[in-house]
Amino acid sequence: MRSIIDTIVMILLSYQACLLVGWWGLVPICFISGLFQSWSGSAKYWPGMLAGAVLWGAPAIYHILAGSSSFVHQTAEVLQLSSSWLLVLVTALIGTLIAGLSRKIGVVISSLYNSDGAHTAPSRS
Amino acid sequence: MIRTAYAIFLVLCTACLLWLGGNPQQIGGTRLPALFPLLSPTQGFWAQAEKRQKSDKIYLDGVQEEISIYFDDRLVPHIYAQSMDDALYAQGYLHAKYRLFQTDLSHRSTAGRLAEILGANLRAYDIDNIKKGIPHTIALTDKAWSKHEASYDRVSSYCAGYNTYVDRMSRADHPIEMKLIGYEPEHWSPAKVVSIIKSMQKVLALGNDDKRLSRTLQRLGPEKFAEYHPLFNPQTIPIIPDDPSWSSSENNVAPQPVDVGQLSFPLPSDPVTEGIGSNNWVVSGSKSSTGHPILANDPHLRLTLPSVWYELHIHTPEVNAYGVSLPGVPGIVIGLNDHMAWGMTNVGHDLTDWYEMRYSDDRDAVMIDGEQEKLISTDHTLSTLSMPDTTITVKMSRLGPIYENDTSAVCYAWKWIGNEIPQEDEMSVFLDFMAQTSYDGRQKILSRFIAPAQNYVYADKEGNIAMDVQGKFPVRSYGEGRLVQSADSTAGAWSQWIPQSDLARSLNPAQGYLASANQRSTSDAYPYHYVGRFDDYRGRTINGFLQDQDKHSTQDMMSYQQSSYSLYAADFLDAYLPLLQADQLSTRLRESYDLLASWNRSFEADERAPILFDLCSEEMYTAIWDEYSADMTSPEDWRTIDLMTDAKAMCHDILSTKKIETAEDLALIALDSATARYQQIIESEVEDYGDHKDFSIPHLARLDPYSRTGLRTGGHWSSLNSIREGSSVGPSWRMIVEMGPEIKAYGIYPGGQSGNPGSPYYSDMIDDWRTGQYYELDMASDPDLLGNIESTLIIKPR
Repeated sequence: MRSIIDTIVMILLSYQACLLVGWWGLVPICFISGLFQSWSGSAKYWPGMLAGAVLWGAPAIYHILAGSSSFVHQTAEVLQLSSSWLLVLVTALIGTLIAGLSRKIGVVISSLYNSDGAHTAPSRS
Repeated sequence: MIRTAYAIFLVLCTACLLWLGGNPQQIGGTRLPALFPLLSPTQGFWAQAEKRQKSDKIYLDGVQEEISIYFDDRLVPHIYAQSMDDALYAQGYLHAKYRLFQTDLSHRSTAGRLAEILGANLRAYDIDNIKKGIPHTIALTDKAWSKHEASYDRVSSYCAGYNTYVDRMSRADHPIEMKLIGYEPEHWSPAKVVSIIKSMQKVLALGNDDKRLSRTLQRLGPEKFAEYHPLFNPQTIPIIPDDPSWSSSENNVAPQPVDVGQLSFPLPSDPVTEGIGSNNWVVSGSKSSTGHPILANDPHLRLTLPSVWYELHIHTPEVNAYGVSLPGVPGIVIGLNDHMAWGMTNVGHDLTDWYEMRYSDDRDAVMIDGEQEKLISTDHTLSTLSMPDTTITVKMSRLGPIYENDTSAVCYAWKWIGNEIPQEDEMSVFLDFMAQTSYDGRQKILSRFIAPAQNYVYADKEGNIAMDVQGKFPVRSYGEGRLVQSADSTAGAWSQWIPQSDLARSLNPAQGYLASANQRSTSDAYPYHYVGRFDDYRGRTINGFLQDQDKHSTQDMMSYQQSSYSLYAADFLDAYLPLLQADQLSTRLRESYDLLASWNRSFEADERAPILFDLCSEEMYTAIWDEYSADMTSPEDWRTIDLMTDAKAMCHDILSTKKIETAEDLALIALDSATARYQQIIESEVEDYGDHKDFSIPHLARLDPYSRTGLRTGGHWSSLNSIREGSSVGPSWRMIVEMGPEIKAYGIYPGGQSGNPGSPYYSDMIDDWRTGQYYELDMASDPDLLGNIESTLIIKPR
């Protein structure tokens, strides 16, 4: 439940940050959420990845379903992608990657200052 | 320690990733867009997926009083302002909002700035512009404009509106093309307005055939050249009927022979503007079904998306005007107001000349008319993406910028009407048109218009109709300007101009109508000489339509604009079919013959005969003119048709055979080849001409997915409905205005008001245009009476 709440908060804040500063607005939000991950008690990484996927993927799906599929298809062709859904997938993956990495950095840096090292194993996800 | 190293590693990897994805990347020769911003849902291309427009209210600096803009269901703005300055401010704001990329690209295409955003591939194009002196002319014209303060202030109001939008826009609003290419919007300025006008001048007034014709003369010799390349088609019906005052003109210039330059080194080829043409005509009340003048205009241009034109309605206490504007330029170019309507077609005069001349020893002067003239050098900085800036030096002579190669003592000067600097207040012609209420007032404004020369058609509420061949034309001797000329004997070329009072024009002619379709301006009775490339068929067609019928209605005008009937096809087949012995043809060829013979000469989409005709005329043309190489100018179509029936013509023989062919032999060869090609086309599942033609309207930056392809249309270069096969040229704005106590106007253009491919208004008018529909143009003085209003934008002073 804590992870879900963490994800929702990240989505809302990142969305506002993106409106404010542009595409990289989710980077500081996810990074900070990673820093406070041990405090919030949510899962380490997947909330960040999920937030990025939703934040970037959901509007893309919405545009296709809400009548802009032709434009999305044309843009997919401009980018030499074979279908609109592939473009949605690429968009969502980029969101996932940016948000996931940002949160992971937050978590890792946070662990440097965590004396028991309980949350710091780089091999765990 | 390991954990710290891991954290640093992770931060570095992420930073690298964000940098790579956040900036455009060059991989090999391909420039990739900045992927992360491009795909961002809040500022990337997804933000361009627009819905129908909603109403809004904004507060802006630079506005004097409230401006109300009502958008109809096609996104056509009806601007209601309390002053022309505010109206132009709003126009600038809307041009920026809906056509930002288009205006920017058009500006760059003449200012030598394409390579700056598109890279080294566009350097040659930019350098050519710079060497032609166009950026230099833009700067000088801007300076000349600034001397007319009142007009310059109005242009500045337009720029202020444009710039306000640029300053207010969020990154999400940047045009998708800018996001893909990866560059930022810029402010607009009067100099950039000049650059858009230069861009139109390049399209309409740059074409010339001097070099190829000179080569043709050298190879054919004067006798054959004169036979194959006469100056004018005697069948042409000139635009301006003969004026009795012409014969008494004191400005008549005696014909003089022209020297032909020997081309010492290859010169850059000039663009061939074949196919850029237009129609306009007007009938007086005596020839119209309403008893009042009816005016029609459809300028043919290379169609693009975003569209060439931006439609709008401007209302102020002094002005109520409607029409189409050029994005990036204030005012209405073609349209109407409460008193008059105006339109234009291009004048086909050749106003581009090449002069061969010799350098002085130190190459800083040239010899013109036997005297040494110092060259003036100007430096221009060329910026290229991912490359250091370079300086291009342009040497200017009295006869234009110099083209040279490194070693030759010979050079060429390029003289172009577009490089003339206006002394009059040229910039406000389109602004002042909107406010005119009388013929005399309109004539005064027209006299300030220099280039590209246009056939201005006119009708007013008082029942006047008029046509003016307006522009700045040098006084020439007979044939001058057609070939590359020697600078040794220019006899003061380009130093004298035809006086405004002597320009060809007609007001209320006895025939009750006037028509132009890029044909010859006048008959030989006109006391000034000119050369050029002129239409031979559309002008005759519309003159025929207007002569044949006593009264013409608006519906008739619409049907004329969309007529695909071709006099070229009629003339060609009248000459060609008798050359074939129909009863001696094989079954296969007889079928082709019958198809052509039974065809009504109209290029309709659902016919097959037009496919065969195009192939047959092409094969016949190739067979007749086999002595011409690609670097020569082949004779015009009308001359070819004349010579087809001339048994003595030497062109019938095919040089590669021993036999001496006759016109009959060529006709059979052409039919056989055309039939073979036709059968191949039909076997490839092409149903008819519309299917075969496969007309397209490309995206301006050739981003093909944003183009409209597979448009099924009829039409032909030789018909009034001049939708060309194999190019995107076609009627860019069809307009018909019915004068009278209550003016009614109709119009349509192939595209949409928004330049955003993700907008529902991007290409929404194309199908209606393709199927011959028109929209009624609503220019109600009272906004409450406007129909089909979908949204409003209220601009209030801050």
